[in-house]
Amino acid sequence: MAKKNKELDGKIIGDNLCSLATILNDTGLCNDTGPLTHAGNFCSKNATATDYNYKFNYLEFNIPNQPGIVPSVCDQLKLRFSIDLIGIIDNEEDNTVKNPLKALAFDLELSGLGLTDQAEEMSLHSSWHLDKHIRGKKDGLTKFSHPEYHLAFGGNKMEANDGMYGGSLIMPTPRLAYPPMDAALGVNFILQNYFHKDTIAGILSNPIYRRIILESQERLFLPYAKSFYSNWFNIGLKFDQFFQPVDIFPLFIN
Amino acid sequence: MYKYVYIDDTQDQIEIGTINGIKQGGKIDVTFIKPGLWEQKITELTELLKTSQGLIVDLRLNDLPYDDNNRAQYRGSTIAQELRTLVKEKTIIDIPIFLISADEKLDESLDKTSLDLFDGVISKNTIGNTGISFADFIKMLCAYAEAYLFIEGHKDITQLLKLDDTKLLDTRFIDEFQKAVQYPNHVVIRFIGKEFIQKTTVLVSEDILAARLGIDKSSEDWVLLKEEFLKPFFYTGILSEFYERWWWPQIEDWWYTKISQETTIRTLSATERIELLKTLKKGLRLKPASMSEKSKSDKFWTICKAQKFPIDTIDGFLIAGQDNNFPWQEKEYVSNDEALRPQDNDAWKSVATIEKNRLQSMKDFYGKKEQRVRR
Repeated sequence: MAKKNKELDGKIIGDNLCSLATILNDTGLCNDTGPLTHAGNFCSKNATATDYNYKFNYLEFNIPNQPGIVPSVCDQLKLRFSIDLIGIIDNEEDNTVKNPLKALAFDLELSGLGLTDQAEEMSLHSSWHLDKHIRGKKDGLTKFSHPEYHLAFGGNKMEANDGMYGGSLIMPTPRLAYPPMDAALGVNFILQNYFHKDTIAGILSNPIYRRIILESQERLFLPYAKSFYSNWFNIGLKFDQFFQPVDIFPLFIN
Repeated sequence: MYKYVYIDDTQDQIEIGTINGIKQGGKIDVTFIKPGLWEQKITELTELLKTSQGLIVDLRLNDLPYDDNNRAQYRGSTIAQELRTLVKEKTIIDIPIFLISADEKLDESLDKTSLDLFDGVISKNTIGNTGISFADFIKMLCAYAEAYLFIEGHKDITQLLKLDDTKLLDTRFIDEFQKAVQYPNHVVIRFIGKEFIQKTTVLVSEDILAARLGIDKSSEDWVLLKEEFLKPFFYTGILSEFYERWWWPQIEDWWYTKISQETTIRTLSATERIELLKTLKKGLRLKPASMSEKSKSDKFWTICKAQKFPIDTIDGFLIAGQDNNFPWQEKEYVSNDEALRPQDNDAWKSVATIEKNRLQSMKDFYGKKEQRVRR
């Protein structure tokens, strides 16, 4: 009996995508929700008691022009969303916090039309990606910080347009939710993101550095994590003004 | 051979030419009758249709008198309505009905309900030349006659579409089909024809198929590719004799299992798609389709409805009137080129409301470009 219900979970995830496509279509926010509909149907028909999967390419949104875009002559702004995902259906009722996804490739590709100084048309591109880190034997060789889920500007989708960096489309970036940082955490962020792993290996293993960072993280990251967590589990916490879950992560819907 | 009854008040060169054209090849036989007194004609038709598989009828039946003084007081659509009612009352079996008319402005003389009575509307003036060819019209008549006969004992969607199961179908399509199947056969065939086969769905036309594979249709081995590799995905259900279609999800699976597990066809350029297709067989002569002037991407996915060339959806504008598409139907586009400088306004009237500002903005953009060039 329980197995049947789990199978239903994945099917409902697929059905939800179809419903979302309908809503997007009705509101006119997305011109063509076909990719989402196909993915939803696929998910509903192929979900099992243990996992579900779907993918689509190029769900397309027209983006309104806005101040601050470089270059200033830029038209036909579009964003295309692609995703390839394998999710797990949690069958175990224990206290383990499980990683909800087995695989994720999530791409946002931006494009626009610009003019060169010679009045020639120029295709403009930029991209963001949110991926699940692929772990393997060469992990020790990873040169930069790779969180399990990472949101990054650029990536393969921009490399495909190699040689076109002169035509990069630069938009005001999304405000990515991120825990607060003090001076120590700021230094740690800079080291881990912009310096080669070999270069910083020494300082990262230094016991005093580690203590300073751990203390800062406990001071700044832990309350952030508690607030985030309490969005689903009200454990009797009170919050300072502007430190409610929805403050630190405004995409929450209550 | 299928037999069609053809009703027209005139039997001049154009009608005789049409009848001869339809009879070419011996697949269709035509019994020509003129209009007459209503009651007599309905009785005559009821008899004739016992041994015929379809009807072709002119819209105007009163241009010439059927005897010395009398002209028909009804139209082709009136006959069609009566026959559809007789079907509902189970007096006669359901048949395909085609409207053939010299009237260029059918939209003005017929409302939507009347048009819904017909399986197809053919222009008498253009058939065999600028309009549908006789070969295609014959295919159409045969396909519909066959579909009406087949559906009699086969009311299951998998039987009608020749599928092993419903896995490829949107559940909402299946629901709508289940509703349609409660009605007479012409409603079911019309639903499948108009809302499923004629639209881009999981079934795609040859133009869309070529676009998605990135192929220029004039490539020497396009036919070979279709015959040797894509045949298993060819649609063989009802009306397939007339509407050539392929099951796109099956082609995507084939791409994954036989061509590339690392790439998704949608995100590849036409050249990349062709390079991978060429690995199927040594010496395969395939050319990538080329981009239209105002296109920026050759990751082709659909076609420009007016000019028929392949486009990526990013290089097109949605056509108006698709807000109430069924969820299993894909949207239709015109290319940037066509939207900026329309060549074929019969194919589309305007871009969708939500696209109008973007089109204006594109016009302004190219206006700015012109200004800079002049400076």
